Amino acid sequence: MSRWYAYAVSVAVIAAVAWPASWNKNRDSFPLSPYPMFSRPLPTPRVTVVYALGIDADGSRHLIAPKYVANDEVLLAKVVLLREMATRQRRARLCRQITGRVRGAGSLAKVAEIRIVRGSHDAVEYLTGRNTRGVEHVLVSCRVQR
Amino acid sequence: MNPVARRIDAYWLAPAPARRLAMVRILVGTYALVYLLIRVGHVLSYAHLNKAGFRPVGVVGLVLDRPLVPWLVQFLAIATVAAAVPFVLGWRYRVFGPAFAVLLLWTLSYRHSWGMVWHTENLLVVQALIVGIVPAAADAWSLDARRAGGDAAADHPRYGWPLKLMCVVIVIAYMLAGYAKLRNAGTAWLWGDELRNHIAIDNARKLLLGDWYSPLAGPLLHYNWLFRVLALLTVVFELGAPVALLGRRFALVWVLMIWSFHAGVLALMMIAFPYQLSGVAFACFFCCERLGEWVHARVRTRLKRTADAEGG
Repeated sequence: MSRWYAYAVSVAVIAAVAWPASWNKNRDSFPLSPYPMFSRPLPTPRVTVVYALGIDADGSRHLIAPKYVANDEVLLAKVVLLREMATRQRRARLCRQITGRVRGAGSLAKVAEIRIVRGSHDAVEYLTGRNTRGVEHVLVSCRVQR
Repeated sequence: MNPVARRIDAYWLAPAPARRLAMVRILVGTYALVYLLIRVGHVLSYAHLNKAGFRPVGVVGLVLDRPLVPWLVQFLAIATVAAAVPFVLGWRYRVFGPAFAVLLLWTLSYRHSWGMVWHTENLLVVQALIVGIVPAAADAWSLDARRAGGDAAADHPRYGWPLKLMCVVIVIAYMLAGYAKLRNAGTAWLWGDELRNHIAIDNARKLLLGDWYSPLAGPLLHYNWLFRVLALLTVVFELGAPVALLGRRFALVWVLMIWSFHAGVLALMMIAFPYQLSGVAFACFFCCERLGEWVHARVRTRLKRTADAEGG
């Protein structure tokens, strides 16, 4: 293999992996990336998340795992929950899909209702247990038929 | 040749043993094979996701504007797993080396084409592409080398530059990560509050979405000074990555630091970078052929003992 092949491949690969440095800061790709994780300015620990809750007949709450929303990837579940809130029909469809998956889950056997909520929390307060409720707004809810 | 070109050649085309590059091929290929096997159900599940969520990235974005039919997604995922075997064994490497690298690029790019780009598999794909397009990676410890009469004995530049390139790719990746923090958040990132907020928000979001989160995060969030130290160290480790190219001792120190950084990310955020944590990503910095020679010697000794015991 020639010296020139070695240099040609090396220069091409180095240029490709360094190229994302010139990208707009909102752009990302794969496998070339500017690796923007955890670089977004976050002056406060406030977080707003769309998430699913399972509610028992006695009112107790269960957070619903990603596998009941999309697959076992939490980030994909987050994207699906956000995306499917776009219209009333899509909200209702996702809610029904989750109830269908929860129905067969032993650990969530007592869940009588699924609620998809938009919750706003102070993440530090939430994790340190000082305020675990935050402000929640119900986007859709549906009964679990058993 | 002028002196500058000679110095560049002396660095970039420094001879290396065939077994070093071969060991990296085996490590990268085995890692990819095991990783894909563990996650095969997950990778196959992308065949049935809602079309509305398709946001193609990388090579997938160049070729597709809508998802593939499910059977083709699953076929390509299984073909990727299957192609990893001849890649590791170095069998028909001129075909299976590039084929596996391209399939891995496709399968993992397809996984990232659903609205969320992860950053845990980038180095695996780029390093597999480098090893895959270099036929010399199968000049030792391979079925191709065995068929050709044995491992290549002499050190040669063709075994050295792909390893140098893999090292430089790692260094650039970490420098980009450090640069992104300073570019996007400014020097405020160094004060630790941003990092503390990121860790708190990431864990709270995981908890709310019903996923695993770090039990350490809650108790540690009380200590602001800790996040100031961690933020500074993170940027120093990332932007300081080029020191790893100064020699093997520098590389060892930097790799230990960056490995600790990833262990910290795992402990505080439950975000695993398994390729880095396994050490495979950093094998190109070291005389990793010694690991293969050690395993080879152990196997030979054991086989000899077994043969002696059976012989009498």
